Amino acid sequence: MSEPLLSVRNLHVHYPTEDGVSKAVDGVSFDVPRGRTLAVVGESGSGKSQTMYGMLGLVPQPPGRVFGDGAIFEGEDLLRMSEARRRELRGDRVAMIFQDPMTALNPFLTVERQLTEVLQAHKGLSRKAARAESLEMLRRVGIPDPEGRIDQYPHQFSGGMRQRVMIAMALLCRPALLVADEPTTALDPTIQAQILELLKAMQRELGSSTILITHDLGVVAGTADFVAVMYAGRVVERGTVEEIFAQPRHPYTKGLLASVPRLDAGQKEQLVPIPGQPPDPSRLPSGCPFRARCPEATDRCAAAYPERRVLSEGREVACWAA
Amino acid sequence: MGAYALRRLLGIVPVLLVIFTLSFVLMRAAPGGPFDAEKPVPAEVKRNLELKYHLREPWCEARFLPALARPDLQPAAEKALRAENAWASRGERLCTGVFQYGWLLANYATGDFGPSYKYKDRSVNEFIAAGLPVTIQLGLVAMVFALIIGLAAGLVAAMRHNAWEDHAAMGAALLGISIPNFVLGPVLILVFSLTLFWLPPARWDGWQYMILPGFTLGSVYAAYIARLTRGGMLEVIRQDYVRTARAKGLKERVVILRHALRGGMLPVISYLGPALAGLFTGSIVIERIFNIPGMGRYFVDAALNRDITLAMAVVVVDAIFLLVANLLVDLALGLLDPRVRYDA
Amino acid sequence: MTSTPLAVAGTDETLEDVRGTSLWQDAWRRLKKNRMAVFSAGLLVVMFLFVVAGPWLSPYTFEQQDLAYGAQGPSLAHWFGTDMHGRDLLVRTMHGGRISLLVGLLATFVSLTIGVAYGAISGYFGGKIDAAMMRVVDVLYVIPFMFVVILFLVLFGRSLILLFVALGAVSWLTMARIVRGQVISLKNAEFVDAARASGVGHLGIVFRHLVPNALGSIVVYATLTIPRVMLEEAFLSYLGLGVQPPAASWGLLVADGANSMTFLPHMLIFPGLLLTATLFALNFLGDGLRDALDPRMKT
Repeated sequence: MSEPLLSVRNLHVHYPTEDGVSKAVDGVSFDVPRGRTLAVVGESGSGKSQTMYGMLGLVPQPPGRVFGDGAIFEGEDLLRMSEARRRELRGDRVAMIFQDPMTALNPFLTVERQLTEVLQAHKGLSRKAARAESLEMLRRVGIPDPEGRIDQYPHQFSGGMRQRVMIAMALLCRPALLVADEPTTALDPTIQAQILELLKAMQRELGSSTILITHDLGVVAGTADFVAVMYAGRVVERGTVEEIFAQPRHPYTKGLLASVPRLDAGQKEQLVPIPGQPPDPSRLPSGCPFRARCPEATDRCAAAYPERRVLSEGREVACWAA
Repeated sequence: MGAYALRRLLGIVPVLLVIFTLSFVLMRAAPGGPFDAEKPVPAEVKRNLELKYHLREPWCEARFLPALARPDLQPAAEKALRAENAWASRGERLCTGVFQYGWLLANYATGDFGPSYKYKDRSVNEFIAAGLPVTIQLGLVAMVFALIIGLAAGLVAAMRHNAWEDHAAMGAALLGISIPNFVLGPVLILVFSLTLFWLPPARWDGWQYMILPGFTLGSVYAAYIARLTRGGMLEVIRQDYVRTARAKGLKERVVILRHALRGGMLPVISYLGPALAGLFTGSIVIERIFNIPGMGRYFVDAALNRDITLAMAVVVVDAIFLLVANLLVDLALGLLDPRVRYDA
Repeated sequence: MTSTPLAVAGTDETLEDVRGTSLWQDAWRRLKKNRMAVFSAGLLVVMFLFVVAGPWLSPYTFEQQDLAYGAQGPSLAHWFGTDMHGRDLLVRTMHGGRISLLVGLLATFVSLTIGVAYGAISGYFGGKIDAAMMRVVDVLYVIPFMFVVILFLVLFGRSLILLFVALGAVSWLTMARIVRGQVISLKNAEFVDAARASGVGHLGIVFRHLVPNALGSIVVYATLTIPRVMLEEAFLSYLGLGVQPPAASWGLLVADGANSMTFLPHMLIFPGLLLTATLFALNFLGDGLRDALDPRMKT
């Protein structure tokens, strides 16, 4: 297999709080192969978004602290480069789309302004040329009547349309990597499918890779090639979509799958939610952070955090019981 | 948008009416009149003056207390007459009051503020025409100072949140709020005029004369604007859309000036309404300290001299300015926030 | 499952370790950490002692004139110097402080009483009553109050009572708005229903249940109103409309000082400094209280 587009090793994102250090991301590693989609799955608070922010330099330091062994993207280490270089890459080679397009788009600026500034900043285009490109991209993402709408403000668009605008904004510079942070969570179910289809289509067209952050396993099944399951700031299991769905090894992964309705389940099978709550990142327990909710926990789980075991290429799990 | 503006403009009228009426009642209720402090005046002259100022209305006299209508009635005799016919006297007063109100209102509506009580050959309009431009100039200079210093300080404080720049700027702002302008003014004069001889201490004869008074008047507002800007910017910087702007790889300067500033400025714009009100009030003292011939100083002199017509006119003019200024601020807010402008 | 009893999910703590803190305890803790606010409070206490106890310790009274010592700068006999009539400035400053602080506190109290009652009633009853009451506030807001106050004082004489009432009347508007806002957001809470169900009448609910819960905002705003009102009194006294000589207030002393500042700068500087310091401390404390009670605003 060729070099992964992005290779993250042992990433940490810490915040100081009144009660000590909050470890939002506590040693995360994963790879994103070229032209493929990696889904990062977990409950809210598991550190999925913080991993991306930390990697891209969007975590304000101070008060936060981002460090790790490396985040190699197209041959450069995101963690060690200058902020100026990172800024060059952001929006150009790596683009991000966010969960709620209503708050993620600037309500005081026109859509045109928010689109053209990306091209002006990274490609040095004139305003006119940037506008033309933006119109074309709006058309590609499926916005009807782009000429009429490009000068409008975000609040004049519907939710699904706003998300398309965000996607257009992210793809303007033809990035190699698209990070989509829960892109469909804030949308109607009917629109969700359309947006996911759009993302898949654009990825095929550009040959780019995607990191898809989600807590919805249904979305994972439909769009992802690889999966990384996160809990309490760490990756607890990794693998291809088929491996994860067919043979989950980590009890958390199993729990997630059991709590999601599946078409192939029998009528009598019950949905089993995982009891309890995820831990507070500033008060992580000793040993495995999942043990309080884990049906397979043993004494060993309280003693030390489980080692990461590599089962095969790209297949890992961090669990004493697995 | 235009309809809204029109509605607001029309809405000013009733408020002005209330203010006008309140001032008028105050004026009528106040003891004293145009003549008290001066040497006694012959009865006929007094009566003519009273007729001129509409303090006497022949129709009312005839209706309630005809005995008043004698041109040679002495003050003592008048007093006795009123005491004897208490109810008729009250009736006549009320009637005259109503007439005076009507007359004054009609005059005000056409922009004539009547003759001054104290300077009988000058009209109030003359004073206003002389004083208003000066006060407006002073106010503008103060506002410009306040905006420049305040915005800059607030921006720096927000950008260097919790660093020494932040604490210094906010400390200075708090000091600006706490030093009364009548303390700051004399102190500045003491230092810059009387000790260093850099700037003139008083009067209004050129641009150098505007610096100390403008700064003194504007300092409080600079302080408030700095605090509001900092607060607004800190609030905005946490917003998702600022994170998006950074995620797009835009330069920090662009993120702040193009994306954050617009939202962060809103509290400052809202504040401009009350700020302008305060500027007017503050000019009363500033004009006194620096001996500036503006409306504020005329007002105090008028009040102290019992020149009621002048005082009342100043109150009404001030109110007009305030109401219009508030309207403009509201319109500006509407224009700046597209969510308000294009209500779907 | 591990055998720890009552384990809080996912951590090593037991329920005993997780102690709750009330809003006030939290706020107090935060306030104590704010060194400048604590310093300001200390300064205010010192100032209070200075103006209240000071005159008793001074060998002079505030009206005692000693023309032989007229118009001198600070000296061992007169720590703040004397004014043109030979009166000791130190004791006059202390007296002035008494009046200024007294006026500030009383006028704030007036403003508080009117504002809280008005705002609470308006917010609680809502509907047309609220709309009408707020309309009145809106109109009053626009009236250039200082002008009216000045006119009042000039035309009807300069009494101290009128001063209190006038100053209090000017600042209750914002207090009313703040309290109304709080009451509106609280009036649908469960404890209100509970009170109503146990038979408490309207006024009882408003004043015994809703207002105490809005106490945080009220305290903060009251602390910030005191310096504003003191400033207005000083302003009026400066114009000659407030406190009358031979009594003194800081505003009056500053006015005197400004008039003679070319040759007697100490007359301006001392009272000016004390007035500014007190206002500064009050403002800082008010800010600190606000940050302590509503930490969201700070970061």
